[in-house]
Amino acid sequence: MKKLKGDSNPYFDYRDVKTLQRYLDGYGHIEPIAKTGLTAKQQRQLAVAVKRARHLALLPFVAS
Amino acid sequence: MRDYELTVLFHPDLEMNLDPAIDKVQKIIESAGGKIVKTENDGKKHLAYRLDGQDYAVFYYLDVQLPTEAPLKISSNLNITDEVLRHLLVRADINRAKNRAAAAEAEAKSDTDSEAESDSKTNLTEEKGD
Repeated sequence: MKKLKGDSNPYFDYRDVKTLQRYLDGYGHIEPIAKTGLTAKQQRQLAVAVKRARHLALLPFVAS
Repeated sequence: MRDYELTVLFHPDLEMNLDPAIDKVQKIIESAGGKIVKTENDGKKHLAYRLDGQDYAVFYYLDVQLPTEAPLKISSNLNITDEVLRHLLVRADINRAKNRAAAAEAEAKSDTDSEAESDSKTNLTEEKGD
């Protein structure tokens, strides 16, 4: 997977599924920091947003 | 009073007659001393997994201001509300609001751009007329 570096100031919103999906693999797992190329702070925000989106059934816990 | 964001997932069968369910949620918030700032109906969406045997749910967003003891009351009340499949109540984030406003603005701009393109011919003739 290509590193997703170069995003200008990404902010992770649990309602914005399209953006979040770019940081998930085919199984619905959050990609590690080495692959996302995010800062530690951004990666934490991403994790929280993905978990909230999963709770609202906007994203799968496990993709089929 | 603090700012919160509440997302409520209503039963899909209520889509055509959503007002009583919304009233119920608003009453729950107001009875806990909360104030509703903004509401947004995002319509029926397909779910990533089934909730209570439902493949779809109506997404309804509320921006609310709540006193400190209210979130717990509201959450436990929404949990026992039959119309609500699921809810999420979180603290509002100023960056999130900014990000959303920027995204909405960009969308509005691209909309008007495409409209302008499609209307360019009529616009041109109008301008000539002026």
